Amino acid sequence: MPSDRAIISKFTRIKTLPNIAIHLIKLISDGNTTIRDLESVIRLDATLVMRLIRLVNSPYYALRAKVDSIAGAVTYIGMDGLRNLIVVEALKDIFGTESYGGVFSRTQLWLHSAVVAISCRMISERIFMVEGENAFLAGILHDIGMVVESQVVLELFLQTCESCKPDVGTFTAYEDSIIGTNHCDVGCMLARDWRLPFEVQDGIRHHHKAMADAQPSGLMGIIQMSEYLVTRLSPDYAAIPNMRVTLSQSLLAHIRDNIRDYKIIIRDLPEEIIKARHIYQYSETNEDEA
Amino acid sequence: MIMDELDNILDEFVNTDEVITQCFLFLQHRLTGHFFQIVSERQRVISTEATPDLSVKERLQAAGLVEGRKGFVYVVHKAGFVARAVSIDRLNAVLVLFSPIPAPTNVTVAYDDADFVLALIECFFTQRDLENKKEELEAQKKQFKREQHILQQRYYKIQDEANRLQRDYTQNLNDEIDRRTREIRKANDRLQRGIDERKRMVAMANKLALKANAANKSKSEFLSKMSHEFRTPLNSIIGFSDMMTETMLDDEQFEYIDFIRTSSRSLLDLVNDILDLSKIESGRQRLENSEFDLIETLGDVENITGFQLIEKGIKLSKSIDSRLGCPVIGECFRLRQVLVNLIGNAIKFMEKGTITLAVALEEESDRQIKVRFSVEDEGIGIPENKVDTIFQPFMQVDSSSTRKYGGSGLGLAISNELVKLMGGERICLKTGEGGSTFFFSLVFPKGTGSVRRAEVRCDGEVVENAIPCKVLLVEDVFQNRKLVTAGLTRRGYPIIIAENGRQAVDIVARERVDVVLMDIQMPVLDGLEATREIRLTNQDVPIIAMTAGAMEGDKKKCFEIGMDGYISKPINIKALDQKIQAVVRQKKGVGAESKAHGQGLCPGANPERPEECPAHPVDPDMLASLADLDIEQALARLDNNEELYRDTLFEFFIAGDGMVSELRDAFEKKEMEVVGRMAHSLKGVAGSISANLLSHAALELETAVRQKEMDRVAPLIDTLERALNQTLVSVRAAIVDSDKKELGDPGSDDTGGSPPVRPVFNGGPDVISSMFCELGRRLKKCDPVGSMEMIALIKKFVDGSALYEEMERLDGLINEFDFDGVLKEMESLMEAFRLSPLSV
Repeated sequence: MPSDRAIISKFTRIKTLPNIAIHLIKLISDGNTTIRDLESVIRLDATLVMRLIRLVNSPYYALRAKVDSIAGAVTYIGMDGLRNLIVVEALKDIFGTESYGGVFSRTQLWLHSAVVAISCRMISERIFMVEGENAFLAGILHDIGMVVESQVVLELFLQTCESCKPDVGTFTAYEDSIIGTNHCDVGCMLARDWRLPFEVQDGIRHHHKAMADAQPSGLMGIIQMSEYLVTRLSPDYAAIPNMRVTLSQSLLAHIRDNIRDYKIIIRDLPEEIIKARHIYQYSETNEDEA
Repeated sequence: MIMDELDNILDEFVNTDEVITQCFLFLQHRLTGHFFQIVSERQRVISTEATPDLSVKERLQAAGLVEGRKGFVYVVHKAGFVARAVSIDRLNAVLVLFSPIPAPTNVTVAYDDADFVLALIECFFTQRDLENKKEELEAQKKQFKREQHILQQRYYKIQDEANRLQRDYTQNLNDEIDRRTREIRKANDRLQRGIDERKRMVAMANKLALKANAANKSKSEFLSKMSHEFRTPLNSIIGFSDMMTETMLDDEQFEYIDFIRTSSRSLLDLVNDILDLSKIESGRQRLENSEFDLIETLGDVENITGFQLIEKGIKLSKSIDSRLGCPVIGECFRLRQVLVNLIGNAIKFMEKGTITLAVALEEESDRQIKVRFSVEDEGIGIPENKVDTIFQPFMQVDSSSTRKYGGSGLGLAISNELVKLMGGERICLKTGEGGSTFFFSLVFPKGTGSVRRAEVRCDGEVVENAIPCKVLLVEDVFQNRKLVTAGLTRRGYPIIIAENGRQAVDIVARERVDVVLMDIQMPVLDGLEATREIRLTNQDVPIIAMTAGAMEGDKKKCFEIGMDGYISKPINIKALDQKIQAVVRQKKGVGAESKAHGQGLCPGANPERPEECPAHPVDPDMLASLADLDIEQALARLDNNEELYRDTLFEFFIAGDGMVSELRDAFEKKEMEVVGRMAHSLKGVAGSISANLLSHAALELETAVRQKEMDRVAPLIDTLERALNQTLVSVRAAIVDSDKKELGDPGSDDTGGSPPVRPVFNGGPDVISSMFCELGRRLKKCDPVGSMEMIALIKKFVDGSALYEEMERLDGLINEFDFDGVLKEMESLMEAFRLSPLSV
């Protein structure tokens, strides 16, 4: 049975973030980096420059003035925003569009990740008044482990999806027994390799754990709650059909206590998803690039 | 998904029991005196005080009765109350109302109080919805505030970032400004230091100069005064010493007196030199310019230095540009002083050898000439480090020189100052182990010709009462031009040159000419036509025809058209001189034409009556008897001027190569007139070097052409070619022979028997100079083929020398048609190889 490290090694030989993305993430994580530093790196990738400017000017950011420079874009969306755009762009390639009957679809997983990411940002900012870029990043990456598994050990992964019975055990328990690791651990390790913030790694690692003391404001809590909300919003937004999302008790209590807030989030979520479609949709990308 | 559905998504989080309680309390508060209870879905019961209690069965019955129905439904009579129930759908609960009996039984319709209760329930939910809405708005508001806060944070971040960018930019800008300011300041400092330093140095230099000038002036004044004071007693000493030698003295006394005389004369020389120098330095020396004859002055120099030269056994070689005939304005005394000084200096430092005095015309304009004087010695040379000091007063190469060679050490300083005073730049010096050359250039305004030349000729012959004449020589053939110019210049005639009749007409119209020597056959405008044109406006100027006239009618034509004399080629210089004098005298009515006998080509021909010369009989026997190069005869005709003959011979050698081929070309093109003219020219040229065989062959060809005997022309050209080749061989032999002699070849230096060709060449630089001049002429005509031929010829002469490579380079330049470049190169080569510039 392959270890999570072995799976990651094998995966990174096939697909990983482009060098320029890794370089930029590293620069962004360094507190001394200036916009000028970033600009000099981004300028090397003409496609990235184009995409960046287009995304910054998309309805999602709802900027009043048109931004037409890298420095301007970075200034408006911030370095973390820039990092997320870079990661999202890279992930589109990594996720792919393969579908395996009704068992597992990468397109669906991508949609799930994008919607969870949007929700994470909303919760972080609207409920906890915390800049939502890290929450967004954790959201978009929380199930990246599944992509890795489906790339490296597809048969085992599909077997897991088919075997999983929510009433009997959690999905991660099935993964552990069939694959030998689970997508939470794999995703966390990848995030570590990509030098993403520690809280993002941690959020990814624990997003399926039902912990009594789970902090609602932590990224783990936010991911869990977001998964819960989006699956309640529509079964189409589930990562895998029939996957049950369980919430830690503390999180349930939190939602109950702030039910008005979450109702508002549930109510506003569809609109936000539509607004962010430029960011996650494939078709849009193709159109843009064409 | 519609909004209500979205709202219900999280309904599982709503606590229904709590809402039921709220509803109960709401009703209780408003239904005072009423008894009722609310039963939840999970059979939780909340009742008003003293309200009868229903059994579980009755409660379930009630729930069953109200399901799907609006309004109250009777349930049961109990403890004096009628129990009626109504469904509260939104709470999944049932409200049971107990009304006191008597109450209508089996009545399903609502009582008034029942309706009131229903209204209250409705009211509760309305109120609750409103409260929910209010809370939701509150929540929404809070979320907006939080988002606003984040946006604000982001804004602050952006602002910080923008500030940081601006700060960075400003900082960079400031740094750059600082850096450049520092650089500018440094540069300014450097500049200022430079300016200060310069100012300081200028001030110091001015101060020193003033000091030096003052010192020098007072020194000069002092010396000037003192020298006068010295001279008077010195003259007395010399005078009385001289007188004393006339008295009776014994040998010892005579020796002492002689010593006193010699010493005091030396002292007087020194004092005179000092006086000269101090006069010049103090600015009191003035030049007294007057018209003088340069050639004569040079003769004076030779005479003055002659004794010293003979005494030391040193030879003085003069190279004087033939164009320097006309009188000039300047101070001849000072020029002579400079030249005597330089030559005297050379004599002083030489044990043996030759001193060369070269005088060359550098530039000439209508009003003035620039002349370059140089004195070249074969002395001990001057060390490099002394070159700058020898022109300073009292400086000789070393102090021991003064003792060894004598002299005050003032000669060069005075000469240099005099040259400057006369408008020259300074005396220059080229020196090496083989000797030194002092040279300088002076510009002289041209004189009017009024000066009366002392008739001392170079050959020592004195012509009494010779009339000074400015001669216009009209001649197209270069060699002839050169020959006549050189010959007449030596005899003191100023010469102006015209290359064809047109130029001659222009010159006569423009300036005063005393006599015209007119060639007959010339391009552009021939001699006869030119004379006719001149005579239209000028009847006075004597015109002498100069022609190798083959035909009887030539002389007649000349006189008819207005010429005054006739002399046949080849020219005898002496005869020409006499002819000029005769014609001029005749024209001016000075006296009878002297009877001069020309040394014409034809034995027995009378130069005065050249028409009587037999028209060159074409006799094969006579041809065979003629020497192909009669040097003796030629020299006799040229006043025995070997140098001139050498040049002429050499010019012939240069030009001779291509003569026949040009002639043949013209013949093939049927240009008989050109053939005739060329034969005529060749005849003249051949005559000038006494190449008699060739001259006759040319004459024969010319005659045949003139008499239109066409069938004879081709064979005559062949004959001419053979004669030419033979002559060229002789000329070459002369060159080779002279070269051998120069190299000390014992074989050629035989004293017994006369050699077939007398070597007259010095070889070396003069030969090459001539060739260079010819090359220059061809270059000026932009004639690449001719120039390349000339270079090839020069290369033959200089093979194996450093000049050979230079000639190769010139060849390359000509290939690129860079004529100006070649000319410049050629001039610098002539300078570098000390080739004297000759007239072209």
